[in-house]
Amino acid sequence: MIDIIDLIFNIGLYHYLFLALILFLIGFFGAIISKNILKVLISIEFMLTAVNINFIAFASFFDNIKLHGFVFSLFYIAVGAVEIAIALAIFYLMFGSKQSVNTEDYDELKG
Amino acid sequence: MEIDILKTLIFYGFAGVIIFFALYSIFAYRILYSLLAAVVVFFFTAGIYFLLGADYNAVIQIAIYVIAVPILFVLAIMFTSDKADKKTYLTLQPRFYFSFLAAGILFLALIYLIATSLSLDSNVAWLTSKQTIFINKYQMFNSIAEGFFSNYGYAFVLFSILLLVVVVGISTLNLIKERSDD
Repeated sequence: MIDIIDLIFNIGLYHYLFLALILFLIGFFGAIISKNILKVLISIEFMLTAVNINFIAFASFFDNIKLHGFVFSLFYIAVGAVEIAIALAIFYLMFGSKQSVNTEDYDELKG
Repeated sequence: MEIDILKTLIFYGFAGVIIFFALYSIFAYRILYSLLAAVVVFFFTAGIYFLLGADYNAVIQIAIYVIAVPILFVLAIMFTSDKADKKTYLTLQPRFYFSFLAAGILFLALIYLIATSLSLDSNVAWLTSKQTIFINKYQMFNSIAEGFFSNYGYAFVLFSILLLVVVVGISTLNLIKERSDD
């Protein structure tokens, strides 16, 4: 009983990993079921954020001298920002031709 | 058994807000509400970074994800109309059920992975939940500076080039659009 209370109330690495896992799956779920391109992009950002939490959690618990995870997390945030900038530029181009945000309207690559 | 009640409450509070608003963001009817909920998620994620001792990352997270990225999204949302929200609300096709199933299987698989692969080494301190995070702030800035300018110096330069390529690429995309319009 004491172990369970200890596990629930004493915040350790597991708690951060599970939070990241839940956030990642919400992002994954949202990216598949959303029909709006912008909402799909927001969902992908959730997945990126979840991975970032993992980077920082592992760095804090295992590597709190060199903190490589913190540095990688900053690179990762830059990659996320770059991805959004490119995705929105492509969205702007596509929206110019179709006037739609529905992912199902962009089906030319189906073959 | 020493439990830091304040830290526990803050963690569960932040985690609850993150999960609630992430779900709200997915299921919100209007895309603008969805974006606002996402901003809340990113802000409280910065709080989680702060709890983990990563103050610098928390500040960068707020600067980029809470301020810069939403501005880009709002600009994109301004192109769309309210009518688009109704048409593009969640789909109820078979992929909805498939994604629910896939997310569930992935959830169970990852729980299994976390519970088994990480517990192989039973001598690791955090398995007993006794590990506390202590990161000296001066040492943190030292380590980040050392990471950027010595260990990962080339990666840092490569990212600068990547950002330059993105700016040039977006300008080129606009140029292509202007030519195709003509």
